Amino acid sequence: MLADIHNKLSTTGSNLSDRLEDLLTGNFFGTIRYLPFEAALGHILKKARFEQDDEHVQWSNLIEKERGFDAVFEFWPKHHEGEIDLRLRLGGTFAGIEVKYLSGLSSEDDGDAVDLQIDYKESRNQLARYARMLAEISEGKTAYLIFLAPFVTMKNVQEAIRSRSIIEPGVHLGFLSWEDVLETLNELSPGDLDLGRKQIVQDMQELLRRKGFERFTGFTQNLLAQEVSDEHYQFSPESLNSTVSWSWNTQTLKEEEHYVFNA
Amino acid sequence: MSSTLKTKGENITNAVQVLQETYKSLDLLFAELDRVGKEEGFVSLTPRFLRWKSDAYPEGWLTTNFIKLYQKETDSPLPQLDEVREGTLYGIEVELQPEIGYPIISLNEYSYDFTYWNRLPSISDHWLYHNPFYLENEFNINEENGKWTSAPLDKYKKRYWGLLSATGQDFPLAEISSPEDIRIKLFRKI
Repeated sequence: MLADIHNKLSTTGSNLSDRLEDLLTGNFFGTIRYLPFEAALGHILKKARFEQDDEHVQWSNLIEKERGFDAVFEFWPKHHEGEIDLRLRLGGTFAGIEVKYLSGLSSEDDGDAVDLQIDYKESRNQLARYARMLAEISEGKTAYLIFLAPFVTMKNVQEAIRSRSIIEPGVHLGFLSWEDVLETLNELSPGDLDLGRKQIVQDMQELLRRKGFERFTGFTQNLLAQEVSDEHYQFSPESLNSTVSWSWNTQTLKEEEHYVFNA
Repeated sequence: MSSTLKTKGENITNAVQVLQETYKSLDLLFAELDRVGKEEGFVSLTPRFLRWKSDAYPEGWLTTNFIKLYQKETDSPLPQLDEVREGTLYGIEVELQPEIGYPIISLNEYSYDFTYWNRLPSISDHWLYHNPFYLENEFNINEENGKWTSAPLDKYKKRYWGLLSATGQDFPLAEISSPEDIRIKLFRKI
């Protein structure tokens, strides 16, 4: 709904992976804000990992102070450095969340993960820009930037960005994977929620499962039990009707006889 | 069953469906390998798995062998290539169609003279890590109870980026069914 409200779903069919990202952002964060902060989003955000332990302690303290519906959600806020997917105001502190879903939908014919490389570079640039944006609007106060992506993308961006000083000082960069988000939702105790809120959590779990963010739990019994015999498709020329004959039409070409455009 | 194939080819559709579902599970498995590997102090050398693919041979249309490479995070970087570490290279290899039996996952270890290394392995460098257990005319290969040892013949050492020796151990793939299995049956076996 949020992606539609913010005019993120163009009907031109261009840039599918961006639109899917915006759709996921809108669907997930647009829904989780209907729950009190401490009931769901707080648990999830606490799973973000930071390079330094003290950054994580400060982040956890900030999250724990937040209650009810006080957090302000700004989706795709306009700024000259670009539109981050979500900007949260927690008390007087800003926390930006940059969301990734699919990276590279092309067929990768050369097979050497060029798409991934480009995506990391692009992500690095985006994170640097959004960190500048957060530093600017925070006016010297500490701010947080969270990169939320499928685990493999998250890990690779995290490694690519480590030891590169492209993030504004004063902005703490945290990493969170969608797989961790789903796992945290699964760990919420449903007893604490009323029926309506339980349904909200169930829908979000279903959405993230559908997006493929479950962790590996082995090969399903269905898969192992599906029977396939060794019978296969056979193309046998002998079975073709031998009376069929190929007909190659021939046409005699005459020299000098060609098309002439005669105006 | 044969009558079904003759009329509709149901068996083929089933086979492809089973494979696609298997690929989806493998995708989750590979992500989990990176995650558990990281927790256990290993770094992944390439974001994607290595594999052989070819349009020229029907066998190459379908990927049946996948290799992920890891090193210990604590080993020191090479002077000429800081993404690679001076230490054992670990390969986790999935083979869906072994010569005998059913799908296996192998834990491989490769030791190198790293002076031959000047770039990171790419996805299509799969052969560098697969052939040591496969090409008998280029390697001395021995196998006993699912444990493999291999060393390249002298003249092939350079081609395989200074490979000195390799070992491998096979486990049934279907027995790996949780992050804990990955931790205990694979990474903690190193």
